[in-house]
Amino acid sequence: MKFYTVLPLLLISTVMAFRLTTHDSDTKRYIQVHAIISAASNNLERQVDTLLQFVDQQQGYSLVRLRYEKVRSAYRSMDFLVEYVDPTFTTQFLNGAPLPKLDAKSQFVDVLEPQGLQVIDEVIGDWAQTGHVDTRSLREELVQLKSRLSQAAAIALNTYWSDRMVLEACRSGIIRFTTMGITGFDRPGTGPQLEEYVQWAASTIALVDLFRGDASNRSATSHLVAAENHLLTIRDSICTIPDSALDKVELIRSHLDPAFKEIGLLHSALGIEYSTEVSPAQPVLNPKALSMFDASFFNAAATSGLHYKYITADLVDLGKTLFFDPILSHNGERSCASCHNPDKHFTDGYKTSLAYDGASNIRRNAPTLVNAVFSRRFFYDFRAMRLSDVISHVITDPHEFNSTLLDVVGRIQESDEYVAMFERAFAANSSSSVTSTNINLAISAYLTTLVSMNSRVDRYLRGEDAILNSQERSGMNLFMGKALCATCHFPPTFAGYVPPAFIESESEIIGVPQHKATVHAVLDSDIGRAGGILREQSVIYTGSFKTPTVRNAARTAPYFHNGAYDNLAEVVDFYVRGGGNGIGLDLKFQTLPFSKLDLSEQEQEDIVAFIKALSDTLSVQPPVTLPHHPREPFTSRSVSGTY
Amino acid sequence: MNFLRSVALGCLAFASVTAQDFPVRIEPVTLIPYLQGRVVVPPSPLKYQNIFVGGVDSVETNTGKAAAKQWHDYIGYAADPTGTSLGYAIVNHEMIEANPKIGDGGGMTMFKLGKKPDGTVEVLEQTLADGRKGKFFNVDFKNTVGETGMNCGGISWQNRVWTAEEWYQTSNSGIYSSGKGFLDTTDFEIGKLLPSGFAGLDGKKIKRYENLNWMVEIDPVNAKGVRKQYNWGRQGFEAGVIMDDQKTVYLFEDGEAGKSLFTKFVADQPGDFTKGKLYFYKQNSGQFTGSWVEVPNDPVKNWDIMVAPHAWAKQQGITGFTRLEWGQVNKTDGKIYITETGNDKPGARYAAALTEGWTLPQHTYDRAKEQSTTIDNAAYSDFYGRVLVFDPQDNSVKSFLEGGPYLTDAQAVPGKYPEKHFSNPDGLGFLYLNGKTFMVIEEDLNGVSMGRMPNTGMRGTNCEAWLLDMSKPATIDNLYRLAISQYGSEVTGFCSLDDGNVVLMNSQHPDAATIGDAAAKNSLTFAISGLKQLVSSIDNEDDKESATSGIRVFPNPTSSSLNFDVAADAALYNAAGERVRVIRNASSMDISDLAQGTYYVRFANGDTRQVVVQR
Repeated sequence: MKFYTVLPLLLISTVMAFRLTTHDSDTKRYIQVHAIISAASNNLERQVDTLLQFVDQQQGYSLVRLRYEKVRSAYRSMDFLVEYVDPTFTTQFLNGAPLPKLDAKSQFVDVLEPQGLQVIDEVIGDWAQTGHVDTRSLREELVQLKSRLSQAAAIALNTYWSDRMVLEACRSGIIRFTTMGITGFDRPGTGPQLEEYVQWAASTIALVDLFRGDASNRSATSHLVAAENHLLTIRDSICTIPDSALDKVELIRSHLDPAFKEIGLLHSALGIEYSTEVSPAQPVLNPKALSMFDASFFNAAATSGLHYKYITADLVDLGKTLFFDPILSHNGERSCASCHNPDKHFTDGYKTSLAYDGASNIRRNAPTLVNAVFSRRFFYDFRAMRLSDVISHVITDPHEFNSTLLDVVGRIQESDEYVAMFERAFAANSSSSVTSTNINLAISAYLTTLVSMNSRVDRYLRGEDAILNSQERSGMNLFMGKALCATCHFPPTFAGYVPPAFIESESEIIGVPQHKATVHAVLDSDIGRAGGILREQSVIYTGSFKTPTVRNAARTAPYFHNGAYDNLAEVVDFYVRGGGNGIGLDLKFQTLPFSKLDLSEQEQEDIVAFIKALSDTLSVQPPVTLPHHPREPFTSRSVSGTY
Repeated sequence: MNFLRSVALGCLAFASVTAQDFPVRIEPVTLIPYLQGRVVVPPSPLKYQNIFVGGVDSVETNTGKAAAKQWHDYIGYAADPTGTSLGYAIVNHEMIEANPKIGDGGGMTMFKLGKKPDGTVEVLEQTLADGRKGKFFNVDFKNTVGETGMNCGGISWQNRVWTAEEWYQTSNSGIYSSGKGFLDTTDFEIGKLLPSGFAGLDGKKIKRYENLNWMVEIDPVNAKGVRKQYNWGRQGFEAGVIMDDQKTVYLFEDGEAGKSLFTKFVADQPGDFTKGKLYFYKQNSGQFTGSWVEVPNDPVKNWDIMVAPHAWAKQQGITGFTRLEWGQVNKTDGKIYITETGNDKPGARYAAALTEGWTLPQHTYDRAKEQSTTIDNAAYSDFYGRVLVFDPQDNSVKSFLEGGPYLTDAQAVPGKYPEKHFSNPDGLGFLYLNGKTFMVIEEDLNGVSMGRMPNTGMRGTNCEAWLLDMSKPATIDNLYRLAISQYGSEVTGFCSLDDGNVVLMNSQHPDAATIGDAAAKNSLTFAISGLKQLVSSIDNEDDKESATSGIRVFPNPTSSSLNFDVAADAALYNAAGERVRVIRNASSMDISDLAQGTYYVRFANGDTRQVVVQR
């Protein structure tokens, strides 16, 4: 009798003690995080003040440069936290690329001048090279940076850092270092140097270590220790090995991607909630991802216009059917697959695609649709904000499908089979499910399945049994290093989809000529983004085109928006010469971060070898039949169309 | 013995829980001894009806059907002169596109509303005077006043409707937009299609782009353009109000930072807006009061000023605001409340405006002082905007409600992230219910930075709509969050019908659709009934179910969230014991996407309540 009364009481008190303990340590943790950020921001403020002093005292380049490097290091100790909470603020005011942008909300074409560390880096870089500096303007930039950093500190300190957010921010920092820090993106003026990231690694280790208290959980402890060990190795590598000698590929494979994974496993072992549980909104990245180089890294639905829980098999099946169905075109003979052929990695092999008339060609090259969902803007000129808007453009373009939304809807409604498919895929409501919006969403849903990050490069980086030979590894190190490719073609998409928040896509002015050339080039007349959406008709976007993915480039020739270049060697050569300005053009707003590239023949071949290894394994079979239509010419239409 | 054993087993189940406060899974039966009450979330009093879906519904044009335009914004309203229906709604399309059937540029769609026996609304079939027949009709600008574009705000007054043409343009190539905008950029002859209404103006040829950016009166019953107010000046108009004296019109411009005009027109005769005097507001230096500077506005004699009024205004030292959006009269106090949406870093623009001759409003100077800087300094920021109040009695313009809170203190206390963040107000309206006056404010976020988004690290915009009881002090704390729109969309427009029983609103292009609901995927106009009930229940918020002890849990009046009386960490489990939602240091948990059923909400200290969600 006594046993039975004592035991539950014992257990209850153990449980209560347990709960009190976990609550206590959790409370302490967010306060500890706050203390870490506070110390980092105080240090940063002191460093900036000292730098300002040195500039005011005209201390000369060497001394100012030393203090500047200290500011950069201090910045790294907390920037990944600020960027996690407020990526827009970081890009706009602290560390964005030194290029003009437009104010997206103004009804006027309002150019925002860049500001922040990268702008200052260019000033310092100029000073190093020329020996000259405009002290007054440097001082103004620093004063502005100081006030922005104070605001950034306020953002980070006013945040309630839940455990989930701390671990996600740590992962976000790893993503950023792997995709941008390590490539020289942050130092357009002074050139790649990695010492400042030691502070980033140290901060990350300190934050991860805060979770050590839950040691009763063996699994969690082992992942925590593993993560810290990886980060320590990363820290030591960037401390001791100069950027030019660092094997970045090896660092990613052996330590960066594993650190990303171990923190993810720590998160899971601790039973902490995921961002998918926080609100009805869907996250951009998959919070359960265990590698940066896997399609599961992303939430593919994030840009589709649909919440991921609505992407059902029926919806995807409907979208796939529509994709291969020429019913979307006026003559019933062209489908999406006409220019996006699965056998050609969803391109068509032409310089520019065939037009509706079957004889002429349209303006631009058909880009691949594999991994196309991983972008925030669509078309080379960025004119579509949502994937679902792209399809309407194609349907109504007289040179592509030459139809109207009303006609397409009407046509599809005539097919009983289609109507049934729509009603299965969309909850049937009182009005018909066959609407232009639903057509767009179905095809978008299908496109979210055209994702694949399974090339030899991905499998190698994930530590699986794939091999990258020394030439390919050298090529990737060049891509992520002195060739500067990765400063626009960001991993892991190797496109202009900007890490670590992935809420923006980039376009660039590189000066692609009308026809490939090495001298006396003639600029292509396509004005790109400046001819896209109405609010972006600005000279800063004239000739600016979306940075496409380099994945599968080996199979998606010809290259650039107008298909002007035929093979990868020529493409690399175009960049080596300095883009448009290097082959005879004179573009004031060219955005390449270099005027020439110092790459040997061997190095250029290595880069091509790497790009070839980025070829993926996705394979798609078109549907065998299409839904029956009672009226010609649609009754006898063929899968994928005829041209 | 059996009871004790089951309790022991229950405790064991607890003890094996991982070392985090909210395990991924629980056994609901083990919670029973710890439950401290039950909360019922009743179905929302709001009933939504999708009325008009852009791109899906089609409009009747003079040459057949066409897919309706999108980017719904202002909703104009005119009563039915025959009294046999709820009246006419006319939706603005804030866009520009080449569209041969409807007309290039923007436009408006008109439809007539009726009330069904069950109290919901429906769109009625009708035949217009010009023979068009159906449910939705594009307002014909093409064959009347020429064209229209980027129609955002407007005026509805005594069954007359005006639309505002935003997106100020200065060249034909600008409006042509590489073939995506207005395809016909030949000169426009005023009065050729329809008499302009201004003596001596007909026959004047103007550049095509000069025929945009006017306030345009339309005929809501016949869905046609009536005239462009060539005597009100050419601006990036956003909205306006007409006063009860039937002569005075106030107009607001969403223009450049520091150069947005606040305009007044006074008609000579009530209801005839083709003749009258025009004024721009000029604040007295160092004060909130100001005066109205008369603007020469004869469209014939003063065409140069009418077509480019900013050039004239800056020479007079007129006061330039920063993106005025919508304004409304508060019938209770006779003042006009105007949203000024703000601009993140206007310093350089203000410096330019001052050099050109503009004066800037006193509230801007006051803010800069608070930020220990000056208005033309790059350090000055205005991330959040505000609601202004204009008093016709003393012609003063002051800030009524500042957006924010402004994250400034770097020595913050952990966990102080503001629960409510009011930013970049755009739409504004008033509701008069139960003898009280409420202001409704709709956000249009300029950015997601600087705390304008909830503290979760999640992406995507969340523009909110707010309610303010005008009898309470105008502070952010007194704002009530009206959760009425789909996550990720911007709510605009606000049109109260049927004595406040039905409200029409627009939802512009949400980011992520819910599958079965056409509403969520496009710009759409929806009708909400039950807003009266909702506002009443907001008013009587103390009248709620309470738990026996501990943190009070109660649903919000739209049943889209669970609210707590203190900020807490809390997790929600479904009936199967799966963790479905976790919030940290917040006093509100979004449950809008959860199906009906039984749930459990658990706090970090172990308190648990049963939650019954009814839909």
